[in-house]
Amino acid sequence: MSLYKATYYTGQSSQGHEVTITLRDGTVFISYPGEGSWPVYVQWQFAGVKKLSASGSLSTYQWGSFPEQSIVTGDPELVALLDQNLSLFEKHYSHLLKGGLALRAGLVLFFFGLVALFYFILVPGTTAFLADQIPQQVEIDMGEQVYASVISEYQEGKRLSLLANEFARQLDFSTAYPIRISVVQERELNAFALPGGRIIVYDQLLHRLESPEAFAALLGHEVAHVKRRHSLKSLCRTLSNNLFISLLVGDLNGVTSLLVENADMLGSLHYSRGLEQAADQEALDVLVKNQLDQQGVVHLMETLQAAHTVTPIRLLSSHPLTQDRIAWARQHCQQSSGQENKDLVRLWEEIKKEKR
Amino acid sequence: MSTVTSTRRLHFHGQGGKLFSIFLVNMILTVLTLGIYYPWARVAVMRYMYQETELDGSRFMFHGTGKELFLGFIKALLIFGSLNLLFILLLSTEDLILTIIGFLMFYSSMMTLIPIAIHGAASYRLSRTSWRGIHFGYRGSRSELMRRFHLDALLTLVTLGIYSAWLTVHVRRYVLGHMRFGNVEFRYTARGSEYLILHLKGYFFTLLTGGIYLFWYVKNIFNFWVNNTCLVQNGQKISLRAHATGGDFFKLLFPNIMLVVFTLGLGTPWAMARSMRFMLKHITIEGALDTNSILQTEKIYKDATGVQMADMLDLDFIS
Repeated sequence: MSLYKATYYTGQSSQGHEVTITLRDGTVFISYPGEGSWPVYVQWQFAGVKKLSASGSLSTYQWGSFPEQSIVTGDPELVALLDQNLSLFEKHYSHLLKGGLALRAGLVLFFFGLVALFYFILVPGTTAFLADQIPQQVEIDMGEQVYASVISEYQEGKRLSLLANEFARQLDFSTAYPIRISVVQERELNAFALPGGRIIVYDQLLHRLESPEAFAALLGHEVAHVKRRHSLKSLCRTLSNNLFISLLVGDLNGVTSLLVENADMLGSLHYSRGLEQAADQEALDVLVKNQLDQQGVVHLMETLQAAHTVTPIRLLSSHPLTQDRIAWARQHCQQSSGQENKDLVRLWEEIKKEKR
Repeated sequence: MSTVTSTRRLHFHGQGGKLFSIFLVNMILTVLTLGIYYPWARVAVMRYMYQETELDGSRFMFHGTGKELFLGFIKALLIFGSLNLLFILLLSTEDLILTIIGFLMFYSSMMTLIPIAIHGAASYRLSRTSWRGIHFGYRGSRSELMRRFHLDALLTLVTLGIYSAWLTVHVRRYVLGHMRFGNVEFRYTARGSEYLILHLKGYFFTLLTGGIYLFWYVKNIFNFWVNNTCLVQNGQKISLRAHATGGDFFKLLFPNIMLVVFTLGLGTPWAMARSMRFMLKHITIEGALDTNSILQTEKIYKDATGVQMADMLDLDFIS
């Protein structure tokens, strides 16, 4: 029977005792010379022995209820015997931590692979799925709430809005969403869509457009954002990315959080550009479907570009640069296609007559 | 071998590389479990930091478990969650009286929860710490701490924040004064006025020297915490002394910042290990501390709600 050496603490005082230990029949026998001539014997049930720590060559084990007794030993045989009590998880965990450079490097690679899997596939996939589950009516109601607060910031041109809606009614957008347009008085050239079907168009943009087909292309682009739930999807994606990132690095330190958040922002811009490109394609599809001149898309792009005096940096722009969009449009839009739509032309002329 | 020596110190044996492995496994498991592993991750780090800290040849132990922290987290979440819900509900009625009641209720409950969190956090962390089998403990009274905290918080409000220096020192004095290491007691003898002056000096000199004084500012804070703390064993006082200079802090902090920034955060474990080693190296325990005769006197405390509340409130009461 083997004898092992360890230091024993009673749990009643910090005085340590040098002890001899033997294991037999599921019991740990501990003994040390006592105060008088009598040795002290202690028994631990092997099943109740818990490992407290392992550092260097020393391992600490405890037994009993509070305040626990403990032993500290460097004897590798005793450690091996007592470690049999460890759970499978604990065994593998300590093995992972003891690993050398190769294992550590492997862990780093595995970690980055895991993060990439989540960030590029699992998180976007799940959020897109969840975003699609939101019922249309909920989305429309939400859009109405946003619209109510947004429209209060602007001056609406009521007559232009009326005409624009008439105009839109002539077109088939192939959507069940209720499309309602509000034209507002603003000096810049802009238009945007809210979830649920509300579209806001700046009147200056309306005035600068030169053909009804260009306006139809603009509407087709914005309706695409509505149909494909782009703002909802972007929002969900941003939220879930933020959650994932804070889960990952939130606790580490401020530097890492900052860097990762900014990297994510660049990534979300890339996502937005993809959506914008898709909306441009749908704008073209709307013109084709309504048998209108496809050059309307080109005209729209050219009008937008004429208004830009400063070329934004590609990386930081949420829209593909207008030059890129014009190039794309010229490539994909057929020349002299479609027919004139008399109703659209009439409405367009009325719109053009309305000045602020 | 005599254990009654006049000067000793704590040693930190931990290594950045080991800590890095722990962080790595933590992050992997946290991602795989969609965040649930997080309390166990924190326990893993704490256990390592404790077990690598040594006094007189023996290491400290952390007895907390992920399960305890997880349960505490749920309870803390429920408390804060229901408070928030109530607050939002009252505000959404858009009734002026109810809104005012809502604000009053919210701020007064925050005021009450802070001392409760401190009490709970101290009780838990100390009870879950042991050395040579002797557990630490906290003998403070929750109601007493609340009473003092409320008074000091009111004074802080009235003095537009200036009294917060006294508030901080008073809380620390109370908590440390009721801390136990078996039958060894602690005392904290700092004064609020010293703390205020320390910060005023630090702030202005750092601005004047374009940031260079910062390292001496940090040294002053470090000294303030350490030099005013002492242990009491059997009526005998054992002091703690800090020995770091501003230059020492520069040698610690500057490489740490470089380490963390240029590795995009991956170097954090190494910075942590360096900091811990530095702090323990520069603190000495002076006096006749008999480490063989510390008796087990403290009770067990397993409720981690306070710790998690303190976390959510961003409280940093002792370290």
